Amino acid sequence: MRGILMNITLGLSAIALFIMVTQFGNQPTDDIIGVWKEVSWDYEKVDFLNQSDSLTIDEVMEQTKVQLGESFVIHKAEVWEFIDNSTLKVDFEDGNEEIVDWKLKSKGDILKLTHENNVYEYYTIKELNKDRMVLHFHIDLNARGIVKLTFEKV
Amino acid sequence: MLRNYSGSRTLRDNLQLGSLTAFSAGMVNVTSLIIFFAFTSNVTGHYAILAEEIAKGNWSQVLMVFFWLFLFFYGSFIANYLVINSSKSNYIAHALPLVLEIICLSSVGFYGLYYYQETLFETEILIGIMLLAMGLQNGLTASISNSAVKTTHMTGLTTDLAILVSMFTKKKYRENRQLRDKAKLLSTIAVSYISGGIIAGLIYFAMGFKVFFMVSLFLVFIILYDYMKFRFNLLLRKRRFRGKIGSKRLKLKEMWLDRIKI
Repeated sequence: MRGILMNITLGLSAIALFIMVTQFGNQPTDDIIGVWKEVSWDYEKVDFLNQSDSLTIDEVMEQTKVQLGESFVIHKAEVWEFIDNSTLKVDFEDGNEEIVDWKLKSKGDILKLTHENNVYEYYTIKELNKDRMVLHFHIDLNARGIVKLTFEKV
Repeated sequence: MLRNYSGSRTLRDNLQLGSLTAFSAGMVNVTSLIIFFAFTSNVTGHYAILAEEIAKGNWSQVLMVFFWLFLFFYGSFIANYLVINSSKSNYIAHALPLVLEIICLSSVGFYGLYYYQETLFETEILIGIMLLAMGLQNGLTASISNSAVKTTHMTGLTTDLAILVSMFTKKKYRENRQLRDKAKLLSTIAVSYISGGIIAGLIYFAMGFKVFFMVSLFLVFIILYDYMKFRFNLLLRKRRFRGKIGSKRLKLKEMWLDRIKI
């Protein structure tokens, strides 16, 4: 009898938690909607930066691209407009723009971008509030990002 | 493999149970990592995330991670509850958690295949269902093997294996059959887990969400294997029994015939 009661209690707890998650769960999707201006791009754990001070920022970016693979897309001083739950408009420095599909993964801390040519980008959302968004280029779940992108809400 | 409980289990039982369930756990974990970017066969990372989110005061995230951990806990609870409350058949009690696991994983596969829109809420719930499934499996294997088999517990397994390997540097431990058996079991589980992960990764890239049906089929095989083995052994015993009875009757008949002749 006690076992059945325990089972029912735990089952009800699971249902209660589910309801709480649906009502009060995290809503990063809502927080992310809006226009974000990229204000900085920082490098972490890139060894060659310390070895060679003579490299220009474009050379460093190219080397990073070689290190991380061709799927790595360089974003520089862009404006990202998260229009709705799946559409992101990226405004480039030169005036061009691109429409990208975006999704959140895991517990809402992984941002997946899908470009038209089926190139995927994954970022770990390290910080997200009303004014600031910090993304780390996603390598794997246990590693910290090599590239850190910081955005401010416009 | 599923029928025997705790002390009555042989090394062979544990090897079969460990390798087959670790294979399916590896499949589930790698698939969830590829699709949802979350681990589902182990919860150590989720505990760390829970602590981190509490420290940050990010309560909505705390709630989500706690929900996941609770589902894993609840899965293990149900599995052991079914095992210890079995009064009629060990086999049914031990197979039931696997049946529930099959239902969970098939649901994820079915939903992913036909309805999944990649929204965050869907992702979080599907991860939760997979954690429940892994809790069921881990609870079952640990419970019926007296914690000798833990198919999703790679941290503990790696530590135990390393300890055993270091012990084997001494001859007296190398000659200890129990230790050798344990090392055999642990290394089998590790290899099965990795193999399951690799195969699931390859299947996912070819078939997408149908990989969950493959895992479910694999679990059905585990359930049926034990059942078929039991039926086969029963049939053999019956035949042997009938054979013995038959030969006794024949001897008696011959004796009576001999007497009648006299």
